Amino acid sequence: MRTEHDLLAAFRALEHTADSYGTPDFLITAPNPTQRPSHGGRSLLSAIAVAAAAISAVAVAAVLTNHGKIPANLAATHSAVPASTSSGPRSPVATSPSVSGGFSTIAAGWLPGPARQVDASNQPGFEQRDYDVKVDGVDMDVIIYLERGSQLPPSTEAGSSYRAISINGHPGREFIANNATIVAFNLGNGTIAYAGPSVVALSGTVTSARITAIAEHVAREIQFNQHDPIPANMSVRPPVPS
Amino acid sequence: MYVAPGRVGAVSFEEYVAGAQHKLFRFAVVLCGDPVLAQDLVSNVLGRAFERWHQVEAADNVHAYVRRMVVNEYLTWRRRNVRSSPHADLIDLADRAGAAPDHGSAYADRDALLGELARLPKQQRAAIVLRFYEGMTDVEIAETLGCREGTVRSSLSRGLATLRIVMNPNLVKEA
Repeated sequence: MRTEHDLLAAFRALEHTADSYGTPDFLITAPNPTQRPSHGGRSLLSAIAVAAAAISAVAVAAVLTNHGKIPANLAATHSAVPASTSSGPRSPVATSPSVSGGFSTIAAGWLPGPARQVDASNQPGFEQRDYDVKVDGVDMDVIIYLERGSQLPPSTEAGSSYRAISINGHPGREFIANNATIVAFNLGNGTIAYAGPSVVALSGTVTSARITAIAEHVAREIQFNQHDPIPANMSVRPPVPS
Repeated sequence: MYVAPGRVGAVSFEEYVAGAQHKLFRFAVVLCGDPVLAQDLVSNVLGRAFERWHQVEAADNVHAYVRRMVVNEYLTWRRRNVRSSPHADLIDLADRAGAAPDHGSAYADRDALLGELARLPKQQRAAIVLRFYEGMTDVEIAETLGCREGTVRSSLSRGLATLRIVMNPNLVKEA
């Protein structure tokens, strides 16, 4: 067993990491107030963040802890993976021109349990929603983001265990990044959706298939470049600093 | 409370950043384990803080306010931007930091602990960092994370259990 001394030693190691990395001059990268975000809301900061994210090679918006499990009823239909080298998924990193500050409680009939919208952001051609959903007693964080396009993420820009699948008739890709399984699928209307939940604990009733079904519903409800319809029975709490 | 030298109760954005950026960056690295991500987190937070500095500087504790913004940025960022291999980066950078040469099992266990920290759920990790790195109480952590005190205690308990750390009861106990 370890003690608090081990934990503090780990923190000291991270401090050394920060010190050896060198403190960036954040004043230099701070935005000029006269240069408001434009063209997708990308400020200088955003551009830097996008570049950093691009290096990470994986642009996803989902966290899933039931690693690498192909959903049982997704009927994975393996096919040749396109050898595309064109740009894959756009990173959601730099989006923040419009972020909801509050939390919403949503009682949408298509969700499998009580849910709370904890994040929403958009920019032209990109939308993201984040829900906390309780499914059969298990809390999970379901993240869905959509972007315009028809190009599924190529293997060169996705994570490991990359495989082509079919989700409810939609061509898709499943891959693992940072111990998280991401599902991307083509909705067929010029939209690519990415989805995945994080779960505190797995259960027999919490499956990737169920999450995928949620994602598909959410994806169809999301409207690009405008506010979504306000679901019935929604309450909003005061915003917290973001 | 962070107060720029020579000024009380009012600090410009530039003064704050100049005086606090290193501390803020260090905190962000400890929080997320990745200096590259930490730089992004702090950059984004400071960008937003700049745009509403009148609101930030009105806070009782400017640094605590900005630090809370960093935590919230970390919690939401990790949701929407899964890095490809922060664990590998963490270990690699920890090695390069050269905090200690390879002294066998102790060094290996520190690396293992860093890896396990990186894999903790974000809320558990944040709770542990705020408690044991920042020295916050349950109430302060709950306020920072926007959750209940019970959730904080649960996060700490589960996180420490995952890390197989047995704490001194005096440290675990609410301050």
